[in-house]
This record gives sequence, structure tokens and C-alpha cells, in this order.
Amino acid sequence: VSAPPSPSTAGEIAAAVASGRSTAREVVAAALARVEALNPRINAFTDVTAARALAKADEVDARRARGQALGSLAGVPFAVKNLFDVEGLPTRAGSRINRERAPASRDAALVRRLEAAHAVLIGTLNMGEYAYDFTGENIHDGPSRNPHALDRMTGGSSGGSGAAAAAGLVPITLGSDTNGSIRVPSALCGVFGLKPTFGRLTRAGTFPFVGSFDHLGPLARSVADLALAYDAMQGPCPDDPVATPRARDAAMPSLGEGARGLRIAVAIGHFARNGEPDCFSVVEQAAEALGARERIEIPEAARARAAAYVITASEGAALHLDRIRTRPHDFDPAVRDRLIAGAMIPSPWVTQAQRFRRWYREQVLALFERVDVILAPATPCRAPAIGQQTFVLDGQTLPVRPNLGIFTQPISFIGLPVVAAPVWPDEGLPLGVQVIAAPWREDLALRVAHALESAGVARAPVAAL
Amino acid sequence: VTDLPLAPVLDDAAVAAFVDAAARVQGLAIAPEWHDAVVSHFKATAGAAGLVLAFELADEVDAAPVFSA
Repeated sequence: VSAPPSPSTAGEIAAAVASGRSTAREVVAAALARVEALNPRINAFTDVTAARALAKADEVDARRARGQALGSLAGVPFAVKNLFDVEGLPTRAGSRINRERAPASRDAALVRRLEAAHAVLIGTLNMGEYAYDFTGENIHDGPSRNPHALDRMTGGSSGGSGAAAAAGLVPITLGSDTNGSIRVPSALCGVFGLKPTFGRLTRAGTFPFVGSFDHLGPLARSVADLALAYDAMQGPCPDDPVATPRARDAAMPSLGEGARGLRIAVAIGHFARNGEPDCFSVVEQAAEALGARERIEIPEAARARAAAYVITASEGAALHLDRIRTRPHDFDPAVRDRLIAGAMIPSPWVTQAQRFRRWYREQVLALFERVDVILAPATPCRAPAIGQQTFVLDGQTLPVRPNLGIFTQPISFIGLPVVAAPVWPDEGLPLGVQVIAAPWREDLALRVAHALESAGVARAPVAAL
Repeated sequence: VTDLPLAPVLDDAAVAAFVDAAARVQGLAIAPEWHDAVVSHFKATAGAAGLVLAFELADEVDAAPVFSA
């Protein structure tokens, strides 16, 4: 069976629907057909909300027929990691236990915001259990598969979000990122991903993991699509206690301004060790294209990662304490055993980690007086094989699961905004470059990623499935 | 007190005893086939915590998640 043709970008779809060259129904029906044809190979979707999607598409077409204005994402199909509430579905968050919950009575806030811009939700996406994962594997739903190499990991925990975007099933997906769960699958699947500043996008109506670090954000095959989705999702929200009261700060208007005039540095130290040579060479390739010669040391990054590890284990365990007490057999063992261990962490360890976080934040913010953007690798290697337990980094054999996040974890620890940009060093699989900016400067990270895309250094081709 | 070992102690027997006691206190059942994995995860966390605890912080440094009323 040949798959329907690859869909366009979100920007192209919205323009076509607004002008009447396409209808939202045609676009959504094509996306649903592509999901039906290709999803069995990559296992990205866990629910397809076809009836709802077609009804929403008809509403968009009816608005246009009435001459009413259309939003910036008119007719654009999207899908969300299955920890987002979708009305009528139990929010499973990759678990067996949560699928017994009552169906959600309302969509998550970000789903509502994208649909307010006339995008159309078509389903939910596979993820690692309770988001405690960097692999994209799931014992209950099966692993999501990397569309560029089906025997390889997508990365996690937003594995379905990476796979669905890379396979061109939808132009925009949403994921969550606590320690790297948007950036790791973006790198391994070869798509762009935005983890905004902590607190920038409301988390209302999503299943949490680690309140101190949980972020939501988009994945897409172009930086402009990331910016379109991001701009549509911003704004204060009374239902998330850490959501910023800041007004919308649109990134789209400055997207094409390029990197000229920005001070860009490459992270050294922790970010120049513990990885395969390719993961550093793609950062150098990006730096070269941007004319970035400065090097910068992010102080105590390895310790920051350790502190994030302790806080994650402890907060995650607290969240799931009743479930690991009463239903331990219903967990993925790899998640359960870490949560049980996390429940036993002495409280001074956690408090010290949070105090260290304050210190580290001050040190890193001081760096942004000297530079605007920092480049670093996203993952230490290309996509490992599904099921692979260990890899060798700098001569050391290490477990894959926690160490795929070795470069992402010290950044989300203090909530900095990051775009993961996919770079393909050869004919093989992609790697990612983290484009990191100061808090609330998503616009700069997106601008630099866009410059890399315009220079042909970063790109996200649709996988040939 | 100078001869006390650096905390946390990563001695296998001490960690296993701590894990078993903490499980009992919290009402957590650990099946024999998970036991080694739980102990090993706790040791990994203790190692990470050791890095954090070894870093000297001024007494005045507040924990990061400060509540704002």
C-alpha cells in the first residue's frame, strides 16, 4: 500500500486553508489516511480521534464559508503526547494504571489554545511510562519506532511525538520535557523541538511527573512551525501555579532576523565529554555556520545533572507513592524500581539539591551577560537500538536509559529555553544541537535555529517509510 | 566526629539494610526479584546526592522553589 503524499508544513497548510486552495477537511482526512497507512510501522499514535477531528475541520471550513477570520493554524492537524487531557479519553500517561481513570471532561489548556487558532487535534501519542524515560519504549503499548530506522529508538519520553513528526503524520506534535523528553526524541528522530522557559506554557490539564521541572512544548519539521505553535500557546493561565503572568511575547515576528549581532558560544567542559565524536562535531558544524568562535564553560554542569537526578527521583516517587504501594505489578519494572528507590531518599539530599539549584541558576544567568546563545549537543549518540541496555561513552560502559539525557538535564534543571535542532553529519541517522538562551528569550533560540535551518545545517526531512 | 565517613555511605550491606527498613516503614513491598534493582537505583541516587552534598553552599542560599503568596 503506498502512503498518501507527505503533508506540507503547518504554515503552508494554514495559508492554503485560509486562501481556499485546500479545505481543512481535505487536509485532516489526508492526515488520518497517512496515520492509518504508516502508524502500524512506527507505533506513534495510541488513540486516533477521527470523528472529532473531521467535525472540527468542518467547523473551520464553515467559518471560512461564512467569511469569518481564521486563526494562524487553520486546518493544521496536530497530535499530543498521551499525558495531555483529551475530552472523552482517559489520560493514560503511558501507564496501564491511568487508563482505568474516568475519561477527561475537558481538553488540556494547550490543546484548547491550538484549537482556538483553528488547528485540529487528530489523536494522542505513545510515551514512556509516566514520562520517566529517555528511550521511547513502553511495556504496555510497545515501543515507538524511529521512522528513519525502524529498529532504533525514538528517544523519550515523548517518543510518539518525535516519531509522528518525523514520519510526516502531522506537522506539529506536543510533548513534555522534564529532563530532556522533547529534546532527546527531537535529536534522535531528526525533528526540531522547543522546550520553552519553565513556566512559559501552561501545564493545566496534563498529567505531571516532576513539578519542579515539568515543561510542555512543540515538535515540528520546521522552526517556523515551532514558532507558530509556540506563539499560539502562550499566555497567562490561572490553572497552573507556575505559569508566568507575562503577556504573550511572540517569536514569529523576529524569526527571520538571523544570527547576526548575537553573541553565540559553544559549551565546553561537561558538554565536550561523555559522548561519541559525532555529537560534538555537529555542534562545531553549527558553530561554524553561525560564525561562533567563543567557548564557554557552564560551571558545575555535572553536579547540576546529579541534583536534577535526585529531585526527579524524589518528586516522581512522591507523586506515585500510593500506586507503587498498592499496584507495583502494574508498572513497567524499569519505572517501578526507580520510583521505589526514589521513595527512600532522605529529605536533606533533596533540599540540598534545590539549594544547589539556586546557586547554579545564579552562575548560569551571569553567563548570559556575556553571551546571548549557547550551543551544546542534545544527546551523546545517535539513536540506540530498541532494547539496547548499555552503551560505551568515553570508554565507560553506561546504562542507556538515564544517560541519553546527560546533556539535556543540566539545562532544564534551571528552566532555560532550548531549541533542539537536527543535524545530519552523513547518510546515517541525525543528531541534535541544543540552542540555549536566557530565560524568557525563546525568540533568540528560535532565531538561531532558524538561521541554522536557512543555512542548510539543520533540517528535518520526512522519513521515507 | 572527624572519623565519620563521608555521607552518603555506599557500602552495599548498609544500603540494602536501609532500603529494607525504609520499605517496611513506608509500607512498600519489594519482591525478591526486584530487590537488587531497587538497591542499585538507590545506590545510583546516593552517588548523585554525594556529588551535591560535597558542594559547599553558603548558609543563606535559599532552596530554588520558593513559595510566593
